[in-house]
Amino acid sequence: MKSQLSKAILSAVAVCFSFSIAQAVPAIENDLVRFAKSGNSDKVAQVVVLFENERSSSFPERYDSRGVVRFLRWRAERAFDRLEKHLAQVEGGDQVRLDGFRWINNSVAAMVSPAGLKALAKAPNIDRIYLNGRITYMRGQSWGHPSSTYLTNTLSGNDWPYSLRDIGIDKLHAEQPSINGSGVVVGSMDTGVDGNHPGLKGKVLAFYDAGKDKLTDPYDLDTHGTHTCGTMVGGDRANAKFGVAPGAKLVSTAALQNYGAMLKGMEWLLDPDKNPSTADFPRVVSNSWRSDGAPDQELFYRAISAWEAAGITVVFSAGNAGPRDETITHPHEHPYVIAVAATGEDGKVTKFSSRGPAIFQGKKVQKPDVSAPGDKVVSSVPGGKMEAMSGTSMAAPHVTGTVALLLQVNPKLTPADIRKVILTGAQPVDEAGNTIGQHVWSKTYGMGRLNAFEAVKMAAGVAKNFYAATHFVRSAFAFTELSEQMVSANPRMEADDFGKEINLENTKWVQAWDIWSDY
Amino acid sequence: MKQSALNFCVLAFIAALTVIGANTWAQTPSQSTASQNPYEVEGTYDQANQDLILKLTEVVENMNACDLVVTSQTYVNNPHKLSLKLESDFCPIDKVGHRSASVKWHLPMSLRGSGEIILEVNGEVLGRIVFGQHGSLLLTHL
Repeated sequence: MKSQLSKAILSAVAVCFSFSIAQAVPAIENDLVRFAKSGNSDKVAQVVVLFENERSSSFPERYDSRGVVRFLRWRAERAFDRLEKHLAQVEGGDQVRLDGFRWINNSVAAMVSPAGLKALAKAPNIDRIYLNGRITYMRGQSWGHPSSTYLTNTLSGNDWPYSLRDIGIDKLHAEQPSINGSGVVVGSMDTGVDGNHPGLKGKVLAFYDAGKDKLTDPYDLDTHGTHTCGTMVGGDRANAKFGVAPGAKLVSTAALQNYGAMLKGMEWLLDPDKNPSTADFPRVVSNSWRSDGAPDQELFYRAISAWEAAGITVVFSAGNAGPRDETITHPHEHPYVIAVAATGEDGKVTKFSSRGPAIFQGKKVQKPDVSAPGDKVVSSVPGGKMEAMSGTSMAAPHVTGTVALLLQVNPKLTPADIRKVILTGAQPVDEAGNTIGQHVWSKTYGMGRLNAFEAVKMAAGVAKNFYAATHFVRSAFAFTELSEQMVSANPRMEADDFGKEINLENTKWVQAWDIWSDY
Repeated sequence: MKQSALNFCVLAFIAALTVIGANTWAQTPSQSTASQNPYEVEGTYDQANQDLILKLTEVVENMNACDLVVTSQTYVNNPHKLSLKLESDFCPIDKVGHRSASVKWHLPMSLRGSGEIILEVNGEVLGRIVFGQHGSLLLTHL
């Protein structure tokens, strides 16, 4: 018995020792190890280096947006400087060409020879090194847009579309027509937006083409971005009823071009004017995309953590990989994400909508969080037209628009507050989509169907004095208690850092380098 | 009796020819659609510019639907055959729909005015495209 105990202790010490050794050496993928061993000085590889996130005594307060941006920039610059100094001192360091850095996730791109890669791997502050592949095929001739059976060419109409009716916008408008998202800026991380669409004209405050790295007049590389933006802020409440928060404004980035551009877009949204002293970022960002196939989800996890820490509510589509269980796509499993499933006109979840639970850091987490209309949703497309589209892509912007309504009612809500209000305000349903009286998390609907009307009432209740003059009353049930209970049931990080505590011990590395480009 | 039966057959034959002819060449404006797995093909013959414009849409719905990209376009003169290679590009969006690609081809001299070509996509022959002098166009299955 004693000997068994000794063995166990020794094993534990050995495991701890080997773990500490492993932590000291950056993880390098096998292809790069072979490249380093080849010793061929004529060869050059493009790599992405993920720095370790060091803890710092100058860590800013959570939701101190300007402090967060300044801190992230400072940390990345310091890591970059440390790496430069290291490379100046080691053999082979002159065979590394550093090529800019992404402060949002503390990483840098570089060109290296085999000797340069060995020098890089010896740096004291590196967590991981990835091969940075490029698109090798030529782009052919292609134009035009996907056809749609449900094409309509009109913006006008007195009827509320099912997508707005289902989440209670008609009721909200009847009771409080002034609650339309006014004064709130929402963000779109998508294919761009047609700023000249009649339903969106004058609503786009800033536009960034992340692929070309420049601010331009808004345009859409596809139709997808204009559609999701329309669902968030498009139209009005009179003749063009299709946006959840038509009074809100928009900042948009055409970022869904490659993973490098996507990270650039995420960084831009956190500091659009590139001046950390101004809090000019959107309060909520809509994301109708997935990152399956990216070299490592940690690159996106860190960016999501940074958004949330700065005070941005992060909304994502849950994915279109249903109807099997555990099909939530990346990076929607991140605890800071509000992952949205898609329902149809009958209020039932669609077949394609991804089902939970999801896996995060090797543990099951409750995703999706909530469901919203995502089947044949009519919204704007480039050229002044309207079109019906389907997908969880269409569901997520309903939640984003609702967040804009909440922030109009109570601008002081934090992302954590908003999450509570959205989930608590949702219409509880069972696994089959039948209305029930109590919130029970479901792998298909999350905490239930989005109810913007109820959520706004709750936000108004939270802002005690804000709506003293209105006939809104605080929700009858114990808001705080219930929401705390739900959030504790939905595992999340108590983050005091920006992704530092997110390790990747169980992350599967995916070989998809050919689409990782333009960092 | 024999004569009347013969007359009936002749009339029926002429009527059948009329219907077939109407279906084949009376297609103005110059558009036609043919449906066959895996693509639905829409075509337009722009006689003024001698361009053939095709749109190919996948019949099967895709869970991450972006436009398809024409990565290669090859024409073989004998027999007249247009070969296209369609591929999906980087597509992270969560939109459900039918992926499609379009191609605009300036016709070679030998095919201007009227002609018939075989359409091949990703190594699979989809059918024939027949276009005529009045801008008419017909897509047929093989």
